[in-house]
Amino acid sequence: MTKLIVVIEIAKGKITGITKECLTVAKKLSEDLGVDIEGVMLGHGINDLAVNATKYGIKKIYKVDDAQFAGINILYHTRTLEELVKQFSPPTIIMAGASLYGQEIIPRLAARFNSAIFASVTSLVLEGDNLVGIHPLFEEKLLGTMSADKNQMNFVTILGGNNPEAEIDESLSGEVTDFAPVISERDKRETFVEEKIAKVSVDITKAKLIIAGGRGVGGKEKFGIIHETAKTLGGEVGASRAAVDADWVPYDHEIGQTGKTITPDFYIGCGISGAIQHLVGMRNSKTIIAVNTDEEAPMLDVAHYAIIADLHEVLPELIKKL
Amino acid sequence: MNIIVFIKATIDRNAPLGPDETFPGDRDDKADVMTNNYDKHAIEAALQIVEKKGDGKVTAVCLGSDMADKVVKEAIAMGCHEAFRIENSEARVINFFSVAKILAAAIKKIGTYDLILFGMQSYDYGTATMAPMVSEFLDLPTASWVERISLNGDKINVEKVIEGGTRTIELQLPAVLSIASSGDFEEPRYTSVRRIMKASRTKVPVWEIDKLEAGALDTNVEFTKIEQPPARMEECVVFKDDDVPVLIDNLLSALKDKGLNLGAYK
Amino acid sequence: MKQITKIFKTFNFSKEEQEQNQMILDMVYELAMNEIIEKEQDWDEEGAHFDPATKQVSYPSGMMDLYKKCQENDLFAIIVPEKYDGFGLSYTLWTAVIELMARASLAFSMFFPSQSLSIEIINNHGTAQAKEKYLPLLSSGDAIGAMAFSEPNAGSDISAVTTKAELEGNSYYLTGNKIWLSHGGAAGTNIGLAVTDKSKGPRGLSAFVIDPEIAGDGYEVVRIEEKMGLHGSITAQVALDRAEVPKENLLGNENEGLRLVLGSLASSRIGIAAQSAGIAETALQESINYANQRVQFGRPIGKHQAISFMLADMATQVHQARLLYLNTARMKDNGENTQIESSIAKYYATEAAQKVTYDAVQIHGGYGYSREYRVERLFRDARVLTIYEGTSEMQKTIISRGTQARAE
Repeated sequence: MTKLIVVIEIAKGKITGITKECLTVAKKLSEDLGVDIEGVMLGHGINDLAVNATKYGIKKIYKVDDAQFAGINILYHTRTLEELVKQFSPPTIIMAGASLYGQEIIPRLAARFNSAIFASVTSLVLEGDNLVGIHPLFEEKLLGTMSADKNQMNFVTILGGNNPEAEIDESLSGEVTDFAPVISERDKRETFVEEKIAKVSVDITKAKLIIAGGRGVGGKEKFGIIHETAKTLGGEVGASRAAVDADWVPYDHEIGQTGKTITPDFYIGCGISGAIQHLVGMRNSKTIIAVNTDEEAPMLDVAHYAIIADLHEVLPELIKKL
Repeated sequence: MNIIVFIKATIDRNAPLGPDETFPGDRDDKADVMTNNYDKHAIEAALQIVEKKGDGKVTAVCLGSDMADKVVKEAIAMGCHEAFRIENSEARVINFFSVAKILAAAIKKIGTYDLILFGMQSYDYGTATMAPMVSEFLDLPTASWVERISLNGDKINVEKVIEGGTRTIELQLPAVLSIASSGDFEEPRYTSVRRIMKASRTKVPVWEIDKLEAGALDTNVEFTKIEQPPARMEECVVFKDDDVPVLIDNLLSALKDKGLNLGAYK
Repeated sequence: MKQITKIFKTFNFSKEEQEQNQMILDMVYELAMNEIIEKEQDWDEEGAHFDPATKQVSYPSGMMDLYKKCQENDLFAIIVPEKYDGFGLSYTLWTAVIELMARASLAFSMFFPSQSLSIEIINNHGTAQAKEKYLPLLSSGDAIGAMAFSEPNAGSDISAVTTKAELEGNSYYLTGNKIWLSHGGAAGTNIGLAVTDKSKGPRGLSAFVIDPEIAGDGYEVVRIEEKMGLHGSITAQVALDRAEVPKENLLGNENEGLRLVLGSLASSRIGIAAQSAGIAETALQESINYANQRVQFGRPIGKHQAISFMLADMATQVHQARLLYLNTARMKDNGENTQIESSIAKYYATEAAQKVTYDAVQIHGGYGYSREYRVERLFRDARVLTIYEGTSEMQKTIISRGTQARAE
């Protein structure tokens, strides 16, 4: 019988949104395969989280709970996951969200097992004896269908922003079992130095209205108009990687592959050209409005409405009108 | 300090894509082939490291058909000291897993290296799998989405992107890194006339896949079809070419027609 | 870009040269279209600066940063002989570079034609010391090259120059007023004409490399012009007051300056034709984009015959301008005298740029008259093309005299 294992990623003491999206894909697959979903969770002091994870329909959680796993060390994680996966004979499916973590750990594991990888697929379904996934190419201008024998080892990363997050169901429960960490001397070639993470002052994933700014805003002071607009209209401030990297706004406002995935009622993107890394985090917003001077910007491919003008003229006027 | 940078030939973002575009290296029009933009950040990182250290060599390696010679030469014209291409005509190998094996085998053949760099992803496949897979095949530590680097003897400190911030880790050299398009290497240098002259006089050595001892190149997952995504149902409504207040009025009334109220959250 | 490449393929470049040309043009295109074009509007609005107190001139913000990138990319070294730190590449390539720069910003492209003219004049007519000193500086771009020919009473008729040069010991001392100096006050070399023998009239003029560092207080910017267009470029009036020019900075022989200068202008006219093709190409592209988006009477205006035929005429004129400048540049590379062809290229291309930018404004309608739209600046900038480096009327005179003289 196929083993279906989801690597549960934790960030800031929570199961990540992209893991929940992955669980949605896993749930459908588990029904088709007629098997349970199992999970593996690595970290430190994560018992409550593990118990909580079973409420997403995970029947068994392998919990690696160790002080050495307080921070993420790719080599430690690979080694320990290797030991776990070694216990299972094919067919086995190992899935994770295609987060930065998932995109580092899963290819590495797949290579270690000399096995197939469905890298960055938006879906994974059973078709006869094959697993079939869709992988976007050329920044989603084309879609590739990938297919592999379901009876082998298959490693999978699920792209964020394509599936709804799995919901918690309090009536569900499962088993949590400890799995001892395995670290070899060679794995100590990676050591943790420090982490700079924005103090969570805001959770933009809950906002109904997001005013987001990008490189086109033009500077830290100029970002003031984004804050002002958000404040006046009762929304939250979002940002592209370019804007947080330039230190115009803290990291916890970042939307996209390396930030948050949001689905507000309104998203207003100001001076954001719309690199694919940003679009995956916001394109499922209900109404998308682009404010941009460039009509050719990729943002307009996902936007419902666009104003082609300077955001520094548009936003003050918008505030006035509302 | 010997640095190997992997570069990829891909298609110009502005060039039209065929409905079954699978072989980015083999286009009729050579002008459509260009260096994967993300890889230029990796070249920039390699050059900066060598410049800062004051010694070392940057070798660019490209797996591709002869269309990719242009990309290899561009790497030299940006400042790479050496470059070669691994022949992959008619895109014989496109499977991620096999490509990673070939690249790892090429590194083993090169023999001496301290750092192996990749761009953070490719424009065409965009899986970001190469750095972790190659690092595994070579049994080396790795970090992806690296924004900043500092050398520290036989170790390297890298600041990499994580969700909501950055993490700094120390890796024992040699190591494999994928370089982010943000951070210290955000603006890759241009080619220069001097280096272009050098590049055009450089004969690009070509390696054969079969001589690399890459091992079995099984394809255990395949692309069975490539197609265009369904057309977007709803076109973007564009307001432009008018005074800003008018544009906003037009937007607000369009929203109102749909029963949407931007002012509902105050 | 592909239009230029196609024409290059018809020329007798070796495979290696074709590859070099393509890589260099790709680099220039990226620089021009990614960075220079972004600043073009700001430069137009800000304009060049002159501080009357310090007599210092400066370019608008950010322009020198991009100039530095051109230096880093060795662009000014393209046509400089290898002996003087250059690459000895073709004038054809150089003019194509000028076109690409002019597509992004005519003001920025002003750094190029005067640089090559300075390089050519010094290389052909300079003393060994002058070549050793100035060609490497011009090649690296550390010195900007300027032309100091025009005077209040000497425009098209540059033989009417009255600035006088007096030889005392090992130096000449120049006194007079020079106007319309592009880069005046910012340039490292100024090639100027001055009277060395008043009795001989036009045959008593000599050409010099005026080096502001040597001239010191003898070289002073009086003001800069407020112009219709080209706001980002410096156009200065300079007062020479016993400006010292060492003897080794005399170009050619004494009293042969006029012929020397007139003989050299043919090359720079090809560069002006290239600028014209560049600005016209941009006007055409802006018009195509606009015509495809702007809907009137139920369809894009580009589909209306009136506009679509205008676009056809514009495209034809741009192509002709490009063929003319590239072909003339190639002739020059082949060692031909291009005196007449250069004038034909300059005359045709600069007039075409008037018509194309005029039509671009027309296609844009009311928006074309608005400062927010690029075509408004293109129209203003382009206007100078038929005037500087010899007016259209001067070109016609040269063309007519030349063709009649060589009538078969």
